[in-house]
Amino acid sequence: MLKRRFIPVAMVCIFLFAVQGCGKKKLRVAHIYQPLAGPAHKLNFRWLKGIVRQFEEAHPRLDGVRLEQIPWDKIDAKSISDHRAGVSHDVLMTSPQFMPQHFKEGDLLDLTPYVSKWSKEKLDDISWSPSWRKCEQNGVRLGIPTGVHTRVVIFRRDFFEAAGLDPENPPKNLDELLEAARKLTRDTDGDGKTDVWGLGLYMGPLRATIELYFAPLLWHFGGKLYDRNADRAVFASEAGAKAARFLYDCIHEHKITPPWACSGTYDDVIQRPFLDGKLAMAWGWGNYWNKLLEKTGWIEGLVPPTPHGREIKVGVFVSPTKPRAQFTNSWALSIHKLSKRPQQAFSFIETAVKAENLEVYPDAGVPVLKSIWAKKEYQNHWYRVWREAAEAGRPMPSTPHYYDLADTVASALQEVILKRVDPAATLKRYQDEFNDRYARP
Amino acid sequence: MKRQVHWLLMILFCGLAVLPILWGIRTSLSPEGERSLVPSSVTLEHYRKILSQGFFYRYAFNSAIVSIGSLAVVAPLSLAAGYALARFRFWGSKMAPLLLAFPLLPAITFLVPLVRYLNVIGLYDSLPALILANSAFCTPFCVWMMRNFVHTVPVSLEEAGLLDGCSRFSLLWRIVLPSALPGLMAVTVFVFVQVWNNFIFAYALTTAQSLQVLPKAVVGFIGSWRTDWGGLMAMGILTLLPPVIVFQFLQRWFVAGMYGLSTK
Amino acid sequence: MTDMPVRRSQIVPTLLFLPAFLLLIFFWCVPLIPGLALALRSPGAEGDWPSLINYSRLLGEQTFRHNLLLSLVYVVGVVGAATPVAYAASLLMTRNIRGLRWSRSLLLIPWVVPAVVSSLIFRNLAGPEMAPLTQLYRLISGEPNLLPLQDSFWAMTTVILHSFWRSVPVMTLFLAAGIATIPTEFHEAAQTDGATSLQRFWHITFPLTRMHLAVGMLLVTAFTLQDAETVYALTGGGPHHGTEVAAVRLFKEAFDYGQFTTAAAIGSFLLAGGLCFMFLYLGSFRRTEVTL
Repeated sequence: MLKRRFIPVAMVCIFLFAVQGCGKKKLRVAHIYQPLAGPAHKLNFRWLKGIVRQFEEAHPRLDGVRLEQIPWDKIDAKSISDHRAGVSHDVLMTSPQFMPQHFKEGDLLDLTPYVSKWSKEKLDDISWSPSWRKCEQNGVRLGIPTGVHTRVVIFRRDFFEAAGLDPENPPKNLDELLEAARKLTRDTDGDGKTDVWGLGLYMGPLRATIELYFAPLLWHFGGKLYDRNADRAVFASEAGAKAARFLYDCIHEHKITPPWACSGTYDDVIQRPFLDGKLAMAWGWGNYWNKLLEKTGWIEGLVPPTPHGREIKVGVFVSPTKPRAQFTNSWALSIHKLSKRPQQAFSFIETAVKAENLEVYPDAGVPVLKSIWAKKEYQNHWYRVWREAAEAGRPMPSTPHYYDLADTVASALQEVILKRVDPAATLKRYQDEFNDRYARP
Repeated sequence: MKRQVHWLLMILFCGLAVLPILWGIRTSLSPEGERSLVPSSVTLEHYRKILSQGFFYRYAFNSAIVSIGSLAVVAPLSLAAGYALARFRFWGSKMAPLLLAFPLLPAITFLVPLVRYLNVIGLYDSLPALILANSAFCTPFCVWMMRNFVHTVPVSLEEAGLLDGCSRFSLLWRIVLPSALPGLMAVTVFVFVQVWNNFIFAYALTTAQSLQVLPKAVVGFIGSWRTDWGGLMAMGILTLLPPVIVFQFLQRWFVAGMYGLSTK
Repeated sequence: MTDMPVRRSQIVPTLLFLPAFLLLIFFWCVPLIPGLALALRSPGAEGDWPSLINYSRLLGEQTFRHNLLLSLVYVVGVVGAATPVAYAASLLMTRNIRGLRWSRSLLLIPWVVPAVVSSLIFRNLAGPEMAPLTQLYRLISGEPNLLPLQDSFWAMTTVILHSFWRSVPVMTLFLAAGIATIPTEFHEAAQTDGATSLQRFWHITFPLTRMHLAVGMLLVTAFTLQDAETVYALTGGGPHHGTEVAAVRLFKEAFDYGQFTTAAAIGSFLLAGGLCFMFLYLGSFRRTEVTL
């Protein structure tokens, strides 16, 4: 009885052994999209398949492309661990925040010889963005950015009007922001509990906390997250304490930020509540959420951009901090150091970053090519704000231990806010522990 | 009176055991952004979106291949090794207590060396790699289970077979196997469930899109900019159905096989 | 005893044992040795060997000591909660009550569900305001605005609750297997002597199922100690390291931060801890005599 069961299974195993050998000659492209996981992933995956098709049609003599999927927050780490293990990849999606770590590890190929063959116009078109600069470390080009992900402060025009604020004149500095937020926080149904919060922030255990909320404030107060020369984290400075206190006050003092801002994912805390009308203003609104605004009709003709786009129910303004800088990054395309076909890989990347492809790439965010920005569809107030945010945007600091730094600062902030303790001392403790971990012996 | 109390307690335990799953089902059937405990409307949208895509069936197929493949490796190996440990005293007998120490070895620690190693053999990023890694993971406990089970099988049948001139191997095949069937069923259920649900090996040892297994796809729902809870739960419910069904069919054997465990 | 007499020929058992043995050697031991040896290498791609720097750094770090403490709390919490419940469930299961066969399969479902799925379900159960666990915790703690995943105590409780929920089936099965081997004459004799249920449990059932309990506890401990994926999916180690058990720290160091030497060192701690538990269980449960 079991003999009959074993033979087909054995045959399947042999078949698998045989088949899996065939994929090895293809160009491997590692991405982050899980087509089952909803429309956004599906559309991006479809875009990627379009690029694959274009590439395969343009190079019929090559062996084709094999797609690899790695979770978005693990793909950089996997590139590194696979490099250590001697496993090769070809094209990879990477994050600029990890470029210092990639540089230290040496797991990505220097693209300078390939990029040097580009025309001056092509380089000018792409080299303005913060991500482009971040993808180069010590003269080594580690990636080509495919878009711009930046953030602004978004607000409800109708709530502004109801509170006596002018939607055409949004807050320009932190004091105005706090004042506006106070006016906008209200209890609409008279049950004693706040229903609309003036300022949405996120302070959960994810990287978004320091990227979107702590860093801009730290920069505003004149501080830095990491000192590249001394190779130490310096976020526990006076500026850091002020930034932490600002966030703390938003929840506990001014009560303009909901207390549930410290857990969950940032779409649960910012995007969904804003669309549900629970937030009057939301800081750190990313351009990847704009499609939802178009879907609900709060903006019209802006996603995808058309010449007659307009804002109906919402407005946006750039972060009201002193360097009006909000965290700006993007996905980038890189080539793995151990790739056996770097020329092919770069050819694939070039196909992907063609203007006509980047224009329709859903995960691009706002355009990374100046030539796309020059088009008619982007000449309106909405996109002017996003362009300003993109140009003033800043990447994360150059530390080879970025993930740990982000986790450490996020944990420190959580402790300050949830346990209601002194910011300066808590930040210092976390900073010292982080520095001890990586101090040179 | 005592009987009613037992019944009531049993229902309580079963209810608590199943309650979280019911919550998962509730979320998977709720429209997006549902805020109240009992959903205002029931929607099959999440399931439809998943089941209408070819990838789901591909992933389910991969999960099945890995699970059945692992079973094909573990079942004969654990039966043979378990029999050897139960019936003989040889150099391997000293290692029997170590079997229980294997689950204590932290799997994550050896994943990076394992990746390098598999890459050298040329098996990295393939389903056979998953099959072998999962098999190795399940084998110690299954060997221990089979050893204990074979202990409970009376030796007289084998002695009769030997007197009739059977070789050891045909003895194993014709006599020991049928009487050890409950034990093997226990191994089947254990391996199938463990391997189907395994995430960590799939995560570390495969990257190809076409080789994903269901648990890895579930995690993929937690996106960088959005998390679709309804879809996530629907995917989770679909993923847990096959092991639950397999368990339902074989649970009688499984429990009987586990009952066969006696003290050392 | 059902053992055969000692055979002098070693060929047959060797041939039978060898495939499993080789599989374990090649897929466990061979990768494990360099994996653990990394713990003695200093960080970076070209580290020095041997070096104790990973251990001195980890032990000197408050957060890591907290990680170890949390691991201990996690294991003790899960095993401590699961054991009595598993005993109760196994006693019920081994009764000859009609219509309980369906209940057996339901009771064992938590173990059959994929760990990532159940941990995400529990995350959803303790996440939003109207979720059942959140409401329950609010009732118990008397804090109407409590958000469990923002409070290290309640987040840890949820983590323990989830693993407890997953572990009870395994222990129940083992204990039920043990209980089933106890001859009914023992209980009958005790009953005619006038022993109460509790006395019967303590003097008959418990001692005779000691070995099964030990193995069950060992398996649950092994799973819990190493468990990174469920805790990571449930809380990510937060809030502010409040649920970051050593296994989660190991996962983060290996897969997020790329610090493989630190990860290896943490792995060795987990292994050592696991072995301690193993000796503890098997040592204290060695005696199986029963005085009637």
